[in-house]
Amino acid sequence: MNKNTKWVASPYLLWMVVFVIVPLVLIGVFAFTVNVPYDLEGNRLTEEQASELKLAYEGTDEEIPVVYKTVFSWNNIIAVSQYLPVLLNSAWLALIATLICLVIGYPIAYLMSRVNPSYQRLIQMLIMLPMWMNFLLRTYAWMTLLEKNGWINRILGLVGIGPFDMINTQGAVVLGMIYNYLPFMILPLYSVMLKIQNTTIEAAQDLGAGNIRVFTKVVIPLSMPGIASGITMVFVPAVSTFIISRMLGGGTNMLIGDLIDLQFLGNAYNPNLGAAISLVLMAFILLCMSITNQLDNGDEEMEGKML
Amino acid sequence: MKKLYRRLYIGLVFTFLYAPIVVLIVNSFNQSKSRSKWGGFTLDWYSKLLTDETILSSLVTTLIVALVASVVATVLGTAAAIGIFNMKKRWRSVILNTSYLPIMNPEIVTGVSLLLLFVFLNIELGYVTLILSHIAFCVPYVILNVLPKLRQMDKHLVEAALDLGCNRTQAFWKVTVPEIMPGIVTGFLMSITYSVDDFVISYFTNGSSAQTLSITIFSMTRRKVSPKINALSTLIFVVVLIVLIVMNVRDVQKSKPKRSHTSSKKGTVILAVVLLAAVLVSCVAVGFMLNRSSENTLDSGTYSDSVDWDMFRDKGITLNVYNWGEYISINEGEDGDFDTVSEFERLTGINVEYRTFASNEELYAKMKTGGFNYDVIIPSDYMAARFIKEGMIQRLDFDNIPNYSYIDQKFHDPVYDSENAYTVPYTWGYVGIIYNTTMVDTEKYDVESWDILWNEDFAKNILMFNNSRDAFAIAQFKNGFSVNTADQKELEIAAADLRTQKPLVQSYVMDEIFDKMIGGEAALAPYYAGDAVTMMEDNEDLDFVIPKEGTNRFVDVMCIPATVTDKDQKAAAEMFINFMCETEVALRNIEYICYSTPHTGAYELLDEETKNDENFYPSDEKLAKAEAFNVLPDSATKTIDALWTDIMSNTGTIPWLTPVFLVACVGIAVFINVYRSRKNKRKNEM
Repeated sequence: MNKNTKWVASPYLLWMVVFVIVPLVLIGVFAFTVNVPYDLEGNRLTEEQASELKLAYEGTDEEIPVVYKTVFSWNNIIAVSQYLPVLLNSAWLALIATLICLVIGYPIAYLMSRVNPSYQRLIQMLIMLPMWMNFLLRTYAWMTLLEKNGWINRILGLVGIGPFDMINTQGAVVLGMIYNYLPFMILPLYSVMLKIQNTTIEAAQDLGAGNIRVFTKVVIPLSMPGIASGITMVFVPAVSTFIISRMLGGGTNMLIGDLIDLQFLGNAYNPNLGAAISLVLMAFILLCMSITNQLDNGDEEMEGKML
Repeated sequence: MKKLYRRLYIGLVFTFLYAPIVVLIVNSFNQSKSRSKWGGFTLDWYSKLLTDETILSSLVTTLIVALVASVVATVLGTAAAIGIFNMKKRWRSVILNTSYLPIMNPEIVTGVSLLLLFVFLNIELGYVTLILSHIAFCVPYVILNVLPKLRQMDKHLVEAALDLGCNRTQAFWKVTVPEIMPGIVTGFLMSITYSVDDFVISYFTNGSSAQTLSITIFSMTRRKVSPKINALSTLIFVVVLIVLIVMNVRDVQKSKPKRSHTSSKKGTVILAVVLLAAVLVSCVAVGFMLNRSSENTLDSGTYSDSVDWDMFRDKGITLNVYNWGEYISINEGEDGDFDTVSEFERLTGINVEYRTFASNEELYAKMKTGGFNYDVIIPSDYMAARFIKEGMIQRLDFDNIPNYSYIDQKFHDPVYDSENAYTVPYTWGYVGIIYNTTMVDTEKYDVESWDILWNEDFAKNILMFNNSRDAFAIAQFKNGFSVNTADQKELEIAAADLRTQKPLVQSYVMDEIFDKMIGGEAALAPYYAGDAVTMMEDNEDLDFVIPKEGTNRFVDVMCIPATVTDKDQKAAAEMFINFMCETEVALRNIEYICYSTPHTGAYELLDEETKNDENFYPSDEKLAKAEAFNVLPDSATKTIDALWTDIMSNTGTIPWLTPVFLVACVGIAVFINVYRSRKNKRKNEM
């Protein structure tokens, strides 16, 4: 079967070139080029000169002697420098969200893996169920909860506390990230913990390990692959989100995703700059994933030698 | 005791997970349209859901896209997995790593890169691009699920089949496919799930004609989510819940050996998907049958007979109309409001796809990107001028728009369209400050000045424009500059002002303002007069003023993009513009959106109270200092765009940082991977 079936993949390979490789190359091309005005003799003009020329020729029948050419430039990449704080801020918020997800999710995943199987399935379903509601709607519902006149403040008001400013803060953005991506942390952790046999834990206990030592020396090391994939699955979407910050952060806490959106379909059209920011974001994600891959000892790559 | 803690903990986590779901479900039964007030129990939203064409058609789009994309992705991905499995190891890992890029990359990067691809290939954004991009991110999931099954499969099975007389095709269908079937099914189901749930990638590739449910919800969240969407989500939620419960009960009852239970679970999941699809499809079917039973239509005698409205009937023409949010009379199913779009469809037989945008700059970005094909757009004056300058809109044939004669003489030969050839005015208005009288003491503070938006007493109670031109204009009036300045220094001073203001701003808004001001979430906001009036109708505490430093006066105009080349298509677009200038239609629209009309016929028919209302038709002295936006030189536009991005992102500049950062990221990543593979090699050698 070997030799013949290799060619079954060829339609896919073609597809892959067109829909995976070419788009990424295009991002690179956009990131390293700019559109600059030239006059008809081929001399480079400044934006001001071009504007003046255009104004001068406006309303006349003569053609405006300005042509735009796409040329190689470092400018976009250099311009991204000033937005690095935005990237770092996004990374910081995403990191907090990821850690909180880990802290909340780890015990849940552990408890889930230790109750009897029919309960396990029930809990698993209950965790997946909210994901069937559109994520924009769920985030919107958080607005209703967090607003100044929202549900939480009203309920607190009944007891005489508050009102608190909860919405339009960085905290609200982090909360939105935790809420939307928590299941992505719990599920990989849970599937790893299922593989930890009770007998392993009992063996450790029999050999004299206390609860804390069992946890740090047995449970945590064995669940490392789950921790790594959970962190990746929460961190990557959280760092690049652009809608949560807009809805819960009120647009005052711009994240790197908002910045990219702003350059493509938003209020400051500049796809070259947008592509450059995307490129930097990709490099950053590559770095983060290399680090998290390190956590699971390299045994469980996507290639999946274990399977 | 320990058990109690455990339960408490699990309980808390589930409260967190389900709190928003409860909000959604409760609001689907809430009679009041405001999402934080309870107005009594009702089932109205459920019945109204069935007659909402936008929601239902986007539901259909979602299902079609998900189904087509998943089927194609499953076939393509399965074939790919089989081929890749049989490749040499080195090739295999290169190809696999590339395949996973669309799901390993941040979604926004995948979305943007596909957008660039479609624009590069010159494919019009719509159904095709949606499906292609959904296939693109679904294939990796299929490969991810099929590949392990191929690895688990016993190689000798195929050989045995061949020995027993099967040819290769038979061996493939009879042995390989059944063995990897579970992987194929899981891959297919994951594709469907991700496709239905996707927002980010659809957002960048949906174009003007196809709109998935996520996109519809997105455009709603910018203003106000209709409780009808809550009703739909509740329905979906209940169906999924029931299926899951049935599944769980069955599993518990049977508790069979492990193998068969997983297969029965798969069966139930398929059942669930089928059931869900059936419920949704029947919703849609019932919806289309009930559709438009209770609509408020006009007698055809009302329409002028200067044009042949039936000219394009049954010609299969579809117009893409792109307008501001909340800028046309629509029937939301409450009190039989006039529905402009369906009335036009009824009168002319032309199909209309109606979409909305939030700011002129957003419209510009979409027009400039290419791939979005609109037939009628409604930008403001200065943006229309920019479109004319850049050759992006075309001359109109005024023979097809006889109703232009109704447009007030004052609006003829405007600065933005000096030849009077490209635009037809739709509405006009001006910007002022809307404020909540319970939160702003007018005795103590001077509301009639833009300075109040910089007053620290209202920190975190101020909303601000989320678009550069309007925001800059306010800072420019505050400083006494012209709003049309191209002077670098003046622009920087204005930007500095906006930066100082930022810590005081609660939120940067466009259409979101309705919800926030009506709900009493903020004290002050600059906004357009017509919308302010709409908000004042919904909240009596609100009031509106024109600041004394001057303000921006604008005209919003109807135009046809230069991309409309088909003659009939253009004539149909002109028919739409002419329809919008029908006296009765203009009247209904202006009454609905509360802006001011340039249409003399409609103005005459307004009641006296409105005509004399300073908020609708302010006296000339009140608008004495008003200034219209004009198109800016390119250099100024670029400066404003860059300054605006800076303001929104709070940044400082260290120019050489990015290249270093880029190199560092890639370098460290490569180092880690090389180091690891060395270590592994050493381990293997030992």
